Amino acid sequence: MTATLETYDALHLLIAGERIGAKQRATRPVINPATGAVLAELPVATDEDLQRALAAAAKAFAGWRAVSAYDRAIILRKAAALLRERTEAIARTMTLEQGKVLNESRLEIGAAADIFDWAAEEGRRAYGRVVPSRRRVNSPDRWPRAARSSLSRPKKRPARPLH
Amino acid sequence: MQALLDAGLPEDAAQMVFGDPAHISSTLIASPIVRKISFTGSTAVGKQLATLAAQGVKRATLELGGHAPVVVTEKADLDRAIKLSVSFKYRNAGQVCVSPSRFLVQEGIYDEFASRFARAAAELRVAGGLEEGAQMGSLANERRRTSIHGLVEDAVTRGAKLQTGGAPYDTPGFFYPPTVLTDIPADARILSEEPFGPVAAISTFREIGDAIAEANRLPYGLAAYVFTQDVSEHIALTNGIEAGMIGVNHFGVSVAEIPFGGVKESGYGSEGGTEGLESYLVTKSVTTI
Repeated sequence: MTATLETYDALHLLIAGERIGAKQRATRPVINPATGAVLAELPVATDEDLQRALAAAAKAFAGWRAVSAYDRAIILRKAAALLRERTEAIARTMTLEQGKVLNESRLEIGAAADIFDWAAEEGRRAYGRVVPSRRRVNSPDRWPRAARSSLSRPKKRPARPLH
Repeated sequence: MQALLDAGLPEDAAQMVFGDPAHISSTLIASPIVRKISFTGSTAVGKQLATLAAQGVKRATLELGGHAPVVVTEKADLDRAIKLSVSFKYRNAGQVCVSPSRFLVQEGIYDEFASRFARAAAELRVAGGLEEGAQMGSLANERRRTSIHGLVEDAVTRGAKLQTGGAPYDTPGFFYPPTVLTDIPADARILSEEPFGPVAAISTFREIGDAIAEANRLPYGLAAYVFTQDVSEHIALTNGIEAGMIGVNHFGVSVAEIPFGGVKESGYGSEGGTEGLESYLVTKSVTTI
């Protein structure tokens, strides 16, 4: 069974980039709580689906963890912008599924976009720290050298005091 | 999820599955591939997931149930307290984990607070979420409606006064009216069980210490709210109330840049803020000689 409203997208599982729709699996109904009517059928994952999802996650993680925080932030910010652009369509879907007032759905989408933006910005600042060694194995002039490197490109940091 | 994929997330980096929650949880959490669990939902389910996570010594962020107290003192801006309380109590028909649910109003302003609150609640326009001018929509499912009505009937049977609402509508859909209960006996279930619905339980207190004791009586500690213009009361209440989040003179505790989470049986860990990011990182100490 497909969606009973034209405006409600068909539902699917997403496993390893593959979309698996309601016709391919056992289903459960999604009810519009404002009317009690069936909105669509939700496909239910099989045990094999779950194992494939796990394997895909393991495989993808190896590549994704190698993506820099800078590049991940670009994706997250873009996703935030897309959410905001698509607010009306997503809000309508949320209201159909959950019964809440349209404006409450819109606010939640805005909050979700804010979370993506926050994670994008803050993820770039997930620094570690350097603890000085008990043993003086490093060259003692290491820190002054680091300072010289920033002095050598002052135009890139006009707002930063030179010291 | 679609926005992330369209923004360039590698297509196999996120999976989305539906099905029997208990079966999916036990399968996925048992796998060594899954290293972190994040869950928002009831305390009962959260305890089950924490148990599953513990089997694999996995980190979890659990944002569970609450029963948010709202302490309104005689030194509060009463107009503001009433206006914001009504607005946030019925947001999403009360189905929000940080929804204000136990109103504790100091005795000198109790009658005025309760009557004005009930009048404003009764005036809310309840309609389908897509309808123009709707101020409160339906509940998420029939189960919610049955559960909420059970709590209201229990309180009324024990002697609570129903100021407005209290009867499910005889229309299609899972609507329940904005409901206000006062003079609620201490043993009423609604004072201990999270209503997660459009019901305001309004009680009274005499001393600030009494309000703190009542706020802390339950095993929950998610959100709490305080309305006062007095700095001593502000300090006493925000120090004394056991909660992961306290909003003073407002209800906006959920924004991306501040930590969102609970204490006691409301869970552990935070979503949001730098704490939220930290919960997805592992600390690795590398020493080199």
